[in-house]
Amino acid sequence: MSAPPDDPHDDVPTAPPAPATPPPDLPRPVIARRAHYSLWLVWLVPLLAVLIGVSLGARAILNRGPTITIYFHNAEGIEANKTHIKYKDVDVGIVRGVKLTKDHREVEVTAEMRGNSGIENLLVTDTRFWVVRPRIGAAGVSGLGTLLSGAYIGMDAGRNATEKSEFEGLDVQPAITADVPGREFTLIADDLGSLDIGSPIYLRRVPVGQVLAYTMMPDGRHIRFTIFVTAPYDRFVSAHSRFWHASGIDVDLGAQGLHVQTQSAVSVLAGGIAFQDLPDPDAAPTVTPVEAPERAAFTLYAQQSDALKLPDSQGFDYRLLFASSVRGLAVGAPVEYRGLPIGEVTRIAVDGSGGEANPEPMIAVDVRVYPRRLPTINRADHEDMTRDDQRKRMDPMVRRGFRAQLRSGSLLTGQLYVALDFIKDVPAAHVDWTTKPPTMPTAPTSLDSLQDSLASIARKLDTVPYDQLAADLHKDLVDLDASLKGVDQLVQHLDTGVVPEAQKTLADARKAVDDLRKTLGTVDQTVGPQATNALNEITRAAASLRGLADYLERHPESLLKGKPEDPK
Amino acid sequence: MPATDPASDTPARSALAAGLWRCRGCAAVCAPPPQALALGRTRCPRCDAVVHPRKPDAIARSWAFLLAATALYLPANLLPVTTTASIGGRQADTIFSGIVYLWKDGSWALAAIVFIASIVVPVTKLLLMSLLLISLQRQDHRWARLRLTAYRVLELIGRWSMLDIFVVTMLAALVQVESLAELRPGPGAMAFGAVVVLTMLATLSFDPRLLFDQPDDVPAPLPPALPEPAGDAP
Repeated sequence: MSAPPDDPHDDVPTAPPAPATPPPDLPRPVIARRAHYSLWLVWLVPLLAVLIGVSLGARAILNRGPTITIYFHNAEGIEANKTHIKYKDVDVGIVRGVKLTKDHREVEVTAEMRGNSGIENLLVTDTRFWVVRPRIGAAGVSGLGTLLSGAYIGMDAGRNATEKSEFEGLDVQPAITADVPGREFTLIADDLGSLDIGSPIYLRRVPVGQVLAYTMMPDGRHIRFTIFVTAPYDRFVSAHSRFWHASGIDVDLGAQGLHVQTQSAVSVLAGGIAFQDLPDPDAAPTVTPVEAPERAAFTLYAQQSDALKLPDSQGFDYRLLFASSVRGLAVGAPVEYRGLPIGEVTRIAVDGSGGEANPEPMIAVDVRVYPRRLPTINRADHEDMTRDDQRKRMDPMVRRGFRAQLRSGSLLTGQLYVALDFIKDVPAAHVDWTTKPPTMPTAPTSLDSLQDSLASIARKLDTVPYDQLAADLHKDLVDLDASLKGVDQLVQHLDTGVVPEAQKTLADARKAVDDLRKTLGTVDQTVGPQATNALNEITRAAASLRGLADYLERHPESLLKGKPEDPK
Repeated sequence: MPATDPASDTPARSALAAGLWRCRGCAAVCAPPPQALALGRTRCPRCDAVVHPRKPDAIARSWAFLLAATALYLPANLLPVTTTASIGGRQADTIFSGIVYLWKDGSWALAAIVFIASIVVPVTKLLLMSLLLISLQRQDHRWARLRLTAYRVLELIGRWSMLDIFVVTMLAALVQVESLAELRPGPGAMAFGAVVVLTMLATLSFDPRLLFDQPDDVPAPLPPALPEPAGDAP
């Protein structure tokens, strides 16, 4: 309260020199009775500010969420701080950085996920990311919204529990997201056909799924497909299911005639896969097959007929050596046992083991037969036949004339197939079990044997003694003529003669008839059985020709299609 | 060094030193009785405004507002100021990212203006204010002239600091095309606005007359609660 000492040079005009006592002519401030405010209240302001600042910062940090890295092949449409990551169209993150990887092969996209969005638990090992762009495909049009808004990164949450922060981005959008109920299966095929990601899967022509992905197997010979069958159809995939390419139109002109296979108009354009359960011949029809487990692997057959063959549980290879032309025989041509398909031709080659011993190289036809493929009743053999079992069974059959033979499947196309049959009167042979595969004896082609038998008929006809036969016949005819003259005379005698002479005439006639019988007997013996046989053959040939002509008249299409199998 | 009257070449004397108070409302000069502040609130005899010899607790209040402003300055710059939603997606911009965008876009002048208004001005304000307060509390009269310059700069730039908030408010009001584009102020805008308001309050609470007070002419009715430097400096 003490005033500083008086300053003589104070320039405040109204201020008196003595500050301790204010100048009396100045008004005094009114003093209101009110307590001083507390100074500490003002410190609430920075405290509040710090609290607000901390809470804002904390919220920002909490909202930040985890940072992930996604690698893409290219960054088309991805922009830092612009491109968002969406899961089920919910914004769950944003791209913070786009740069090349160190080896310049890929694009490293750093993205910051939104916190408190529940996304943290979804960043697991099988979570997938892809760039959503407008896409026009056979399966439809998608991502049209991105035409205006620009691309965004789509996400599909995985089901694993292991968390992860680095991901490989997909090139294309997966057709099925993880939340669609259903199951994945694996198919192994020889080639891709006209399939693509998104190609439909058909069950009895109902679209039930899609192809998710395909990869080349490490051996470079097979394609592995990952397919997805949606619920509830996935339970129809059983251990007995067979899958086949239902792509486009399969036109098959084979020994069995012309086959055209299609699945649906879409699959004709876009390709597809069809599957169906193979009925197990041994199982009771009421038993529903066991469902296949998730990711079970199946073979993808090239066509339906391949797929629906009976189980090829066990195949046996045989080699057939033919001396005749195999023109018209193709790999894959059927092997039939008395008309039932039992296997197929796997290879056609020339036997190179020629040389001195074998100056005319044979054609080696390798076949594979599946004994279990035959629909069988009273099945006696067990599932897994060993080679010895097979040998025990084959050797007696071959001894009874079991041979392989090339036969014409269709006269028009000239396709050949391999027939296994018991053939009568063939030279004895045996299976050569020493070679690999064992060599089964063959019989000449049926056309060849027809030629042979015609030739033998011709040879037999050649040996008939036509000259002698004619001479005998001539003599007999002369005798007959004489006899007839005698008869003539006799008639004249009858005309002119009297009754007693009739006795003599009758005796003469008997003699003549006896002579005639003798002559005819001679003819019978000399012409012999040859002529009879020849005439019989000719009669039969004429009959069968007539039959063929009748049949063709009624079924002219059989020239193209062959004779239909008799209904069983 | 106290300011000197060029005519008389004698150091200027403050009213307080002369035992006089001046009303800030009507500029009336009054002579308080001894121990006036201890008696209660003093009011101007002419206009009835509260009259003080100096603004009460000026330095403490300034510090409080200054610290509050500093605390909010971080979120103001780190958090997004605007959130733009358009067909192209949602985009959040902080002050600095906006400047970078403008700069990259080629609008260098605009970038410079925003940079100065949004970054340079607040930072300068905060720094100058703290320097002023620290220097005052230390009673270091060597920098008296510099302090005055600083205070004048402070006054000069203070009026530009709300530029950003104006822009954001106008944009938020204008860019509201339903479902096509939408602009919303983000949490950073609030923090930034608070920073500006708080720095203004800090300068308001400050009493520039403290700049001229001489240590040796501390007037009789000094506010009893003038904080000591050791107690209130952060």
